[in-house]
Amino acid sequence: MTASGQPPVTPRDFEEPTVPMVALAATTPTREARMAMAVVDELRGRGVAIRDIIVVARSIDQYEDALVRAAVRYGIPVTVWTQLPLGETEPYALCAALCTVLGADEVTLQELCTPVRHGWVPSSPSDAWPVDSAALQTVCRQGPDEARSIKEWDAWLRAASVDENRVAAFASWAAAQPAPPTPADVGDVLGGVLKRYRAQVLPHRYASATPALLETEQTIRALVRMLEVVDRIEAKFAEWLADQRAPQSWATVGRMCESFATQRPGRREHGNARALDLIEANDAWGRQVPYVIAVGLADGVWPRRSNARSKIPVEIQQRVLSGHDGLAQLAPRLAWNGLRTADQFADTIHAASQGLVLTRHTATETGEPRRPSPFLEALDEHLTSIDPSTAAGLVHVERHVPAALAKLLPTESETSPSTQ
Amino acid sequence: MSDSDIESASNPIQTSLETFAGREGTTAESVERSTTEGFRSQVTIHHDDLTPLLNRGAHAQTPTELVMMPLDLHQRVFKQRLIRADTPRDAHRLTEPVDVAGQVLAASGASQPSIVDRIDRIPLFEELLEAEPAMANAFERVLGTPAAESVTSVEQARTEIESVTGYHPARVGALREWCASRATLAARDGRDVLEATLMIEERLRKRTGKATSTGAVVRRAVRVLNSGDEARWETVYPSVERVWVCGLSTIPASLVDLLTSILTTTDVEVHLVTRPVSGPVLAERLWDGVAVSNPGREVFEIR
Repeated sequence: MTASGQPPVTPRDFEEPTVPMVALAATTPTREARMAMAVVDELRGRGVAIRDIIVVARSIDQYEDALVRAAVRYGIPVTVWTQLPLGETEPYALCAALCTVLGADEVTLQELCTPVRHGWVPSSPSDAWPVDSAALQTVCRQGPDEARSIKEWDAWLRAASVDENRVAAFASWAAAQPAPPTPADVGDVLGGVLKRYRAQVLPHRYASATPALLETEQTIRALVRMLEVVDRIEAKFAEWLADQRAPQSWATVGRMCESFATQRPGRREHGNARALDLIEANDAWGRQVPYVIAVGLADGVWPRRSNARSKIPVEIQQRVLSGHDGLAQLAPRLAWNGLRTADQFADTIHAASQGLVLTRHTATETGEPRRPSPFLEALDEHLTSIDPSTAAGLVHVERHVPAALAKLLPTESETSPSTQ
Repeated sequence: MSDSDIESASNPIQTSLETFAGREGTTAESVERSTTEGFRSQVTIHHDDLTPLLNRGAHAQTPTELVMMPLDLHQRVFKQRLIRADTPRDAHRLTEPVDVAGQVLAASGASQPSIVDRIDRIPLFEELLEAEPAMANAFERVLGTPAAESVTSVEQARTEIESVTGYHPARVGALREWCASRATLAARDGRDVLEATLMIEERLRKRTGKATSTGAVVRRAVRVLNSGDEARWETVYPSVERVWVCGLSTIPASLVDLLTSILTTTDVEVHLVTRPVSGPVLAERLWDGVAVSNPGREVFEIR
């Protein structure tokens, strides 16, 4: 323990990987992602099997978009192993909005239209479904700005001069749903709506998606996850009712949906041997793969400025970590001083058995400069760094592979079909 | 519970006499030292090296390796490694601490505890905070926002305090003492977050009557193991020769206590496979953790 009270526990020296490694810099995260995928493309061109390569990011959230787009450009199929921001997806929004409508005594016209906007469709929909947002906005503009019961809205929609019987169809359906719901009703109603979404709405979303199909990909994952969540809500709702923990209402079900969505459980895709695995650093532990490409080695990205979420004062964290001042028997949490993040980086670089490529960007998309990650600096003396102008040769139409990178890539004659 | 146990709660360094050896006339300090020395020969630390665990793969009728690997994705990677090495998988049983605890409790005749999870806790916290403004105020002082609006922060505080102390009297006492003997902002915030968390945890126990976390189940099993029935572990895991803890960057106090009770009541070896950077810190601090007396004990009356 030093006089200043700083704990003597900040080992940042990584065991040097025994494989050849190189650091590539690009000017922006988007260019960095392109560069990383160009390396994958180059490896494949030299006969390396796609399952013998992984791409690792500390957090996929920041890189998924850029990496998947870059992969599409090179025709590389990818599998993303990540947590799913369920709360930001349409299947979740659909269920949440339904619970609001079914659970409230009175709703606004805007609230009534929300499930329809998120893809509610009747059991045998015509070509007029799903309803697009513009049509719903038109309805809302014509309606009174007040809350009414669903039955009243149903009557208003049928009587009014608004030429929109689809919202009326939803209102009739909603008025006929069981309230308060039993646990089985929750499964039937929400599960049924999600299944109709899968059959009738997903193809429309697919047709209007961007080429990278990011949103459709995520929506499919969210649908699968949401169907599981509905099963779990059904079981938990039954438990809560038995314990008299919460009122038997759609509002309770809505709160449960929200809790599951904010929990961000690790929903991961199924493995696919013909696709490139895009994983998070937390998933690198114990892996052994010939080629590892780690992206985002910029200060503030990996490692991120951590610790913000802890509710324990930093001074106490330091004493607990060092075990001094009578706090020796307390169990240290190593996320506190960034050791967990450092573990994840070490896991990543040790996963490579043939070659390791570390990429970074020198500025954000908006031009703010980004320094190299301190992790790169820790490896500095063993690492060949390639500057952005040289590294850019990788993404040119006439690809130029920097010499330092070429050294760790196989020549085609070296590669043989993978045994695994 | 004896008076010396209460003493030890306020003095975390001292280890009560009867806990490990029960030898009359030995000073607490020497008991602690010899016990920890004994533990050191029973514990093997593998720094960032899974090979010894992989090498234990064999054909076996019953598992010899009890592997606590809490993350699903780690279990998946480990199984893939075994498959790739063409190693038989019968010798390994992959599990997690709460399941081990459940097995121990089942063997003691206790019913499987129902556990309140995060989804359950958050609305309960809202309810409890509303019912007790004093508790809400204590959280608000630390969190800076009304506690009812930041229940996830309350949950975060609860998770951290539980992980660090396991609500053990010696650990809670040490933290309380540290905060009380200083006049800094950190000490005041630390006291507020500790006391508010203990209060809400206690109210949660009263409110639900269930185990309030997986850690609570682990500590319950630790108390069962520690109650002196040495045959219990062997009833549950008769063929297990080694217990492995793998891939963790943090060993929460409840798991430290589970390891302590295994070390104290059985002859099985404990193996720790650490992560690359946190490993040395974790290994060094383990010896202080397992020296705590009465592992699994809690400051609450309601368990």
